[in-house]
Amino acid sequence: MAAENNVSEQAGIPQLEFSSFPNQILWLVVFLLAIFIVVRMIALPRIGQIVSQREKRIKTDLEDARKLNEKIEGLENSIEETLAEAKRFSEGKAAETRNEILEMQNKALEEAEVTVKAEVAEAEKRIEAIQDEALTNIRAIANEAAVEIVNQIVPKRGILDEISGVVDAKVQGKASE
Amino acid sequence: MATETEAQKGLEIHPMDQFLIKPVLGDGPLVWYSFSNTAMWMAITLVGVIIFLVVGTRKKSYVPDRFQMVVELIYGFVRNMVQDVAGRDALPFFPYIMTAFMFVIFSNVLGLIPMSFTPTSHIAVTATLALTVFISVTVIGFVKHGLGFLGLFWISSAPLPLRPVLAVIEVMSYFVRPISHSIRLAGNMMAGHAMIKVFAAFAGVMGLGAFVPIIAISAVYGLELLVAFIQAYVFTILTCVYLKDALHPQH
Repeated sequence: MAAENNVSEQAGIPQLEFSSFPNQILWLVVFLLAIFIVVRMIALPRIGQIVSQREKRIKTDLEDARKLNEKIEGLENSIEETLAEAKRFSEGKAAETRNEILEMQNKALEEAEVTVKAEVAEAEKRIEAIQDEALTNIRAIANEAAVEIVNQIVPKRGILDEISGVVDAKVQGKASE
Repeated sequence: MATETEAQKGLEIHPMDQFLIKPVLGDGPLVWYSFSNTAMWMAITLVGVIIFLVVGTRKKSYVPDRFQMVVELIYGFVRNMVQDVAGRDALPFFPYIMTAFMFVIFSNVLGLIPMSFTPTSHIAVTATLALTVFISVTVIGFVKHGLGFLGLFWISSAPLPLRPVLAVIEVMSYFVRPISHSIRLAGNMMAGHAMIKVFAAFAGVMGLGAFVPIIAISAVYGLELLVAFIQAYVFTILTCVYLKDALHPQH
């Protein structure tokens, strides 16, 4: 302890002990050069390589991502175009089909109308024939009934013909009304 | 018994003993080639730098682990400092500046280990570093610009009558650079360590009251850790500023 104190007393400010300077400078130069060699030859090239490779990788990845993004945008545009085209096609097809159906409907209606008119005309003809036939029968029945009535009341031949003529005239008159 | 002896002797503090340079191998006197304690701690600094820079980057990962990330952070920090302060044309000098930064920061931080030694607390070491920077940048300035480097001292933006006076001041300030550059680092390192030693001596004689200097030591230790980093940064950034003056001496 005493020896240590002696050293301390002798020490003063060790930083100003010029006799130690050559020793310090020698070892500083030696170890500073060693650190420089480690830094210059090993560490910096290695770290520089790691950093530049990473930057290159990031750049490549970003470029790939940008290209893929562009590709996706192109595909999206293509899909939209296809969809728009399909929509246009389906709308055209729907309109065409609607027109065809309308035409067919109109045609069927016209045909039906013609058929109905023809059938109505035929039915009217048949009704007219039946009416004529009915009128003819009525005249004969009325004539016979009148003759019979007159025969029962007046048995004279000449009057009968006259009556028959009057009845015919009346029946014809009624028919023409 | 020992306490009584201490008490009898009174408070004896030798805060500068920690800076004594002694041979580590053998008992002989210190000669210029002795493997001294400063040499040993410089060797430990070298080992620390190798572990940090070489082992830290051994995996060369694209996605770095924590260790590699710290190494890359320091690399980017110093590289950006050189580029931002001295310009892109200073990048060829980046390895030299990185070497100085690694040496100073590892010496400063390793010197905070108890019972260790701080080479950067010695003016001989810091002055050698500062003179190396001073001589290097002066040579670079003259090699790059010839006598045009002297334009550094001729402030063309100042009024003409003032220029000679300013030139004298600039020349003086230029030659003071290595002194301030070296004393700043050595002084900061020495002062913090000496203060810790003084507090430690107080703790040794205060008995139960030792907790006060122990708390103070803890606080100063934290501060010293900060100072260790800041002084390494300041030393390096000043080197970059001097290099910038050598590369671009025009005012």
